[in-house]
Amino acid sequence: MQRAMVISVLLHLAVITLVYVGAPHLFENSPLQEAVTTATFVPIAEARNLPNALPVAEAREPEPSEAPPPQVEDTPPPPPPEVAEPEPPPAPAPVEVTALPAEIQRPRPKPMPPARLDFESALQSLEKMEPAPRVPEPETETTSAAADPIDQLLAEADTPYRLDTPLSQTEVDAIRSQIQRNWNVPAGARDAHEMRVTLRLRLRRDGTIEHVEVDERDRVRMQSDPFYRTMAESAERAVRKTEQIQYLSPEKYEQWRDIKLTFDPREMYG
Amino acid sequence: MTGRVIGLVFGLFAVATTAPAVAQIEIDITRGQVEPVPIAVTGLVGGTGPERQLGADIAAVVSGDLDSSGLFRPLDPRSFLQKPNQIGVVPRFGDWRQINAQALVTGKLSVGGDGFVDAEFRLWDVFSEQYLIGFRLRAPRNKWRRVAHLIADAAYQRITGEEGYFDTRIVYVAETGPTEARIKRLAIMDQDGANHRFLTDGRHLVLTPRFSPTLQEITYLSYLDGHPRVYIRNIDTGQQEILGKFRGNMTIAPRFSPGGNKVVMSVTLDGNTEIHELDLRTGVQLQLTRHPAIDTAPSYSADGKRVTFESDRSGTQQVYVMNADGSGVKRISFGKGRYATPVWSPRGDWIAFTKSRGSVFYIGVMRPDGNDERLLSTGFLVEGPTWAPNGRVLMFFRDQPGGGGRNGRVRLVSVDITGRNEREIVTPTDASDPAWSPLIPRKALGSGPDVR
Repeated sequence: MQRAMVISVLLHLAVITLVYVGAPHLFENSPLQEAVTTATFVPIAEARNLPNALPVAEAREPEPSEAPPPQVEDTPPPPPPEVAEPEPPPAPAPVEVTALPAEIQRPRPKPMPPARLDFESALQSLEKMEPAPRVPEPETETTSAAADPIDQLLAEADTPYRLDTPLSQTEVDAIRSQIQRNWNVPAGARDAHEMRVTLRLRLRRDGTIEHVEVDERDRVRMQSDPFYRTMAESAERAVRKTEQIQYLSPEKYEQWRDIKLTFDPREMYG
Repeated sequence: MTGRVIGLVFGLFAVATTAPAVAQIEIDITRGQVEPVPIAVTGLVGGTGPERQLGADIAAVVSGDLDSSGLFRPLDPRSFLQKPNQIGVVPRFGDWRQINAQALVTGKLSVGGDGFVDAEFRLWDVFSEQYLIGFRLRAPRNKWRRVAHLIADAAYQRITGEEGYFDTRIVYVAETGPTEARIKRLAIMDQDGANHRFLTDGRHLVLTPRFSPTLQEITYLSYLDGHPRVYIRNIDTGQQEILGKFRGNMTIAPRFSPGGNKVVMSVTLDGNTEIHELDLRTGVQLQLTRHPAIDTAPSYSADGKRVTFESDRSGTQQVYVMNADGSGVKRISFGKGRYATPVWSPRGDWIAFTKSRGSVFYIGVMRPDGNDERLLSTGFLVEGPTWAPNGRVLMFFRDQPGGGGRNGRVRLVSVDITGRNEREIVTPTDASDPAWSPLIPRKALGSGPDVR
């Protein structure tokens, strides 16, 4: 009986000491582990998402203006994205300022556009909004950016050593998302859904716009249809506003020098 | 051997297909943003102090117009890097790009000794560095708000591709007094609420005013002789007369044809309401519908060849379309609920309507064949849609019931056909039954050359 008592007391003591010594250790460790996982995770996401993921770019916008974020799951963004490897030296040639007085030749900081709502449809209907406030997009560029990392790995894997490969989907998406961001679609115009506009775009080595014009065939319709002219001008404005396409591999210049851009808002009127 | 041949063929094929792909990449841009165009409206530059003040006032009205459309975002003048009086022949586009303006309005102004204002206006595309449009205008000084509206219309039209609608007026029913003794007067104001005045004194009930599309005339329903009758009235002279000599004891819901020479309305005779057409020049009357159900609220299509109306012939109120001679009646509304007061867009591509389901009302639009129905606004009671002359914006009224026996609040509201940009129109009293005028003819500005 007494022995059992002694054993019980000893065991209890043992458990209490274990908890006392071990538990703080456990709590101490957990944040450390978390920090480690985030640190390894973010750089990968950066490298993948930069070219074609709009949300990443947006999320980073407010950061510079604020004090360094405390200890959120955000690690400081790695200085230059790995994608832009041996970018040819400076060449920040200001775009299309030839006719202007000298004083504005200084490279102007491009004002960041305010964060925008993700866009679903140019037209809004209360009824559609009632049962399901936000219909998931049928085809989303944003999720595709985050998803299938293997595809992206594969797409990137062959860039360093095969110069003759065509632009990867990632690079095409990068160009698309940069222009899409600046395209302000004239919504509500009559038959806006039947207005495809094709632009011819020529880029310089640093990704700045050397020349952009509406395709000859579409220019005819611009003369007669003011709605179409508006659509075409909005497309041209989107390109001019983009100023410089980023994250292009310089060694593939020959492939992305001339781009045929087709602006088709039909999906937005579905 | 054959294996090698096949391999060769495939190899050649691969070369043939990949080669052109390298030549030029093609990218489809299928999504964009829908957000207002940032525009910088500089004050019209004048030589003297009063001229500068007037120039700034005009710019403020232009900004207000563009802002109200929801398609533009006028920038704060304090952010301008280049001051208006520094703008010579061509603006320094870099300065305007830097503040993120996509379009720029500049101008000059002088007031002559004869009381006339000479205004000059130019619109620029900042990103392509191009001159887009401009004009000179001469107007009496007291019409300066119209000068501003014309500038706003021109800028709106050049950038959106649609006709402007700022140089327009609104007629509506102004309501005052308690519910049991409501006084209803016809009132008119500019589209932006300025220059408000009452047209009738409120001794007789007035309802459903409608603009003539070509003249500054309105038609409406009044109980002037004790019976509800459709009247026509000249806004400027105040002259009015009963429209048509119908045998019926009640004529309601008038509306002009697009040409302005015909009116459709409902005539009630022996308890049955049918739609009639009246030719204003010849006085010839034509009965369009023949059905024991109530047919009312007719509205012409943009080309005048068809008429949409509401009828309860199916058991509930629904929207129908027929040819202008009354043939080919076809029901177009099939959604849940009741559909009423269809109004055909001046652009021809939509029919606006009031819908009620349960105890909720909606303002919506559908294609003339009944497809693509979209509900734009809702409320306890929303009713009476009317189109801006460009078919892009709708106005209607919203009745919010007051609690505890108090009067409710009745206000005019406008909304874009995309369903965005809903705004309440400021009126001095409660307001219902709005009617949007066509664009005011330019010559109404007064004498003086009108250079485009």
